[in-house]
Amino acid sequence: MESLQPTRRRRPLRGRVGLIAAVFLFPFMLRFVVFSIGPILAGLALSFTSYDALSPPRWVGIANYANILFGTEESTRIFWRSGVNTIYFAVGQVGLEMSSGLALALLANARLLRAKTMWRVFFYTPVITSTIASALIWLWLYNVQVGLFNTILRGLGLPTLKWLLDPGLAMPCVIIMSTWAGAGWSMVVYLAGLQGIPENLYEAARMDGANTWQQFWKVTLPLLMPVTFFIVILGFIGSLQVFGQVYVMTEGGPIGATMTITYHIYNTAFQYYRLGYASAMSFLLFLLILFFSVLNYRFFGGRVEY
Amino acid sequence: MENEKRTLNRREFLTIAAMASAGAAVAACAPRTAVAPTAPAAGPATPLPPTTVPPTEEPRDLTLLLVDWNDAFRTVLENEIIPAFQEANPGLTVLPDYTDWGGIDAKVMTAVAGGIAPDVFMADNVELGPKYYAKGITAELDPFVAVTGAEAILADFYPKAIDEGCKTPDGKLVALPYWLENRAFFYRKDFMAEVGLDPDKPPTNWTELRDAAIKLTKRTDDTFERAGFQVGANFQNYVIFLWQNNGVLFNETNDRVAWNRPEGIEALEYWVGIIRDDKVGPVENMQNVGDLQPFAAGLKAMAYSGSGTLANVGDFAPEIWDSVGVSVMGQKVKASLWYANAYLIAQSDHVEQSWKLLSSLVLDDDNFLKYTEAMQTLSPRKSIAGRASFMTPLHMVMIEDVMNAPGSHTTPSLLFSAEVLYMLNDFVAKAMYGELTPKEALDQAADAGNQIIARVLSGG
Repeated sequence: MESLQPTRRRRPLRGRVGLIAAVFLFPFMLRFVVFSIGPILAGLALSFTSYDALSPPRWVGIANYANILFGTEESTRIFWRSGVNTIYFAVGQVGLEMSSGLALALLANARLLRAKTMWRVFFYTPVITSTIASALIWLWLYNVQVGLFNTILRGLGLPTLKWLLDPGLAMPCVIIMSTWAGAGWSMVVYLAGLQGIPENLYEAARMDGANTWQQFWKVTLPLLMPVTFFIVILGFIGSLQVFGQVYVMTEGGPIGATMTITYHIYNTAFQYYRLGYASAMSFLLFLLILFFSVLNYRFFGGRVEY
Repeated sequence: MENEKRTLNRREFLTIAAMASAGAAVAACAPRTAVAPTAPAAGPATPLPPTTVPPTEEPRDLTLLLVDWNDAFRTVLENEIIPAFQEANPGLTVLPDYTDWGGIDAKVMTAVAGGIAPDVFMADNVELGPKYYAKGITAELDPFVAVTGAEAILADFYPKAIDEGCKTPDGKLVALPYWLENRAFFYRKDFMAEVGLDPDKPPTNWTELRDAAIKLTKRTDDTFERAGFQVGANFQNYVIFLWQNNGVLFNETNDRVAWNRPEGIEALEYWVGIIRDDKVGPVENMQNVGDLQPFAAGLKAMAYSGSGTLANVGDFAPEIWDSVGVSVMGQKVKASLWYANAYLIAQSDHVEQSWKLLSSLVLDDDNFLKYTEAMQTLSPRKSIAGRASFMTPLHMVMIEDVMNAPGSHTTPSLLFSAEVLYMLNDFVAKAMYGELTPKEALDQAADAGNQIIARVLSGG
């Protein structure tokens, strides 16, 4: 019985601490549920309705989902095409951003580079620049008549390109712009990874006769796998939701070459007033993102090396 | 042991907090009843009897949502028009709100869904007008016209602007126009003289257009120094060719598309042919050169365009003003496209006050002239168009010739117009890019369009 005394004295203290923690957590929980979980659940509910915001929702069951997946509507065809475009964008942008981010990180981490901080800030600035502002600038760079890129091509005596007006080039142009905007973030993450690699591993490699390239391939790259995995996962998730640059630069054109799922969802909801149908597409996009997240985890998860 | 029961552990707290928050979220997200009365899914609201107007309500705020505005008009509105209205209508306070065309859809939609639709708002007669009226969101204006004796002022409007632009298919007035967005045939007289064409005799039919465009084109392979004729590959420009060839967008009962009839296919084949085969202009849209639109920059010699092009020339290339010509062209009939941007009144328990505000903005001569002057718009009222100081002969051609041309129309204000016509955009572009032949494009667009129409008309 006497041994219970210290326990009884601790329980009230734990209860008070728990209550204090609850008080501090509650505002965030309330905000999270009301402004994040709540709208998500509301959107899920709307996806089972026909709703145009001008009259009450009408229950249609899984008709929206069936229409999207198996229907013959033009909107269905656009959804699948936009899905392909979105994956094209995601693969291109993540791959390019990953490699350019690593290159920038290696550069910004190089012993011989002076003013490292200034260069890191310089490379990171596009990340914190508004997507809309960046897209507007790149819209001008790609301008066929007066854009910088065609001006350079003309100066070099090369034929000009139609950039965003060419169905074959439009998506690569958007990918390049997005990579420019995001490479700085990858750089920062890779920098943290690089600085976490013990120097003695490189010393050991050099003592074994490894050259710079072999050190990079056999030491740096394998030890950056966790970071790479992280960048790929987050990059993919972000890329599958691309919207701002498409909205500003191409509006999904020309002839649907840059139509992404999110832009199609936006058009469906706010141009055609089909909010229930757009909500259903949103949830299918969520499932797509979840699928690729699991796939990426399985692919990279097994190759994490320490 | 009793103390143990009173302790709240972390898991219990999080569970309770989540349940409480979820309950708050469900309550907050519960759908609200719209202010508008329940209306049939695809039918208009029950109109007020012509001789009855709701009694004057107690003093209140009136919200006014504007989408076509600039700083000059905003100053006039807030410093002159609104104060004068409030002085003449004690107890009424006008609260203006400003947005742009990119945000108007979402703004009005969410306001309506939230039960706070703006009392008076600007809208597009094609995309928003018919939909809002059919859903019972906006009010019919005929009762107010009858009671306030505004028929005489309505007679000052160009008839098409009212009959085609602001009335339902069954003849109910549901909006009042404030701006005509007219398309006309623009041509550069200096370029025509340069290649030996008579600058005072612009093309009057498709044969002459093609011949002139070929002569006016300057290009090396697919790089154009100057396009002889070029317009964007979208449905607005397609319908100009369609109507010039006596084609129609929808059938007589407005329940199926009709653009893939022979005259419609011929129209698209002609347009695609002069671009892809005769190469009188690039397939893709031409871009601005700094502040200059392509026509003002001399990148195209002929085009269909609107009053914005005149404004662009006036502001940034005044030296070429005398070289600009405007006309209305045709094939089987002279035709062009026009739009009437219009004011709508939200259905509410104070529509009379909203009508007073709308009247002061559009039916009051001085106020409407102030708007027209500030915005330099093509006025849908003949007397105002004649009095506006910025109006030139070219502006008058854009109004008079376009509105009087027998084939000139606005795109029909039907429930499904916006969705069907934006879908048509994609197929017109595919034909222009060569992905489909014109007939394939219009047939596939017809299949898709008829599906949309069937869904919308069935309440989907």
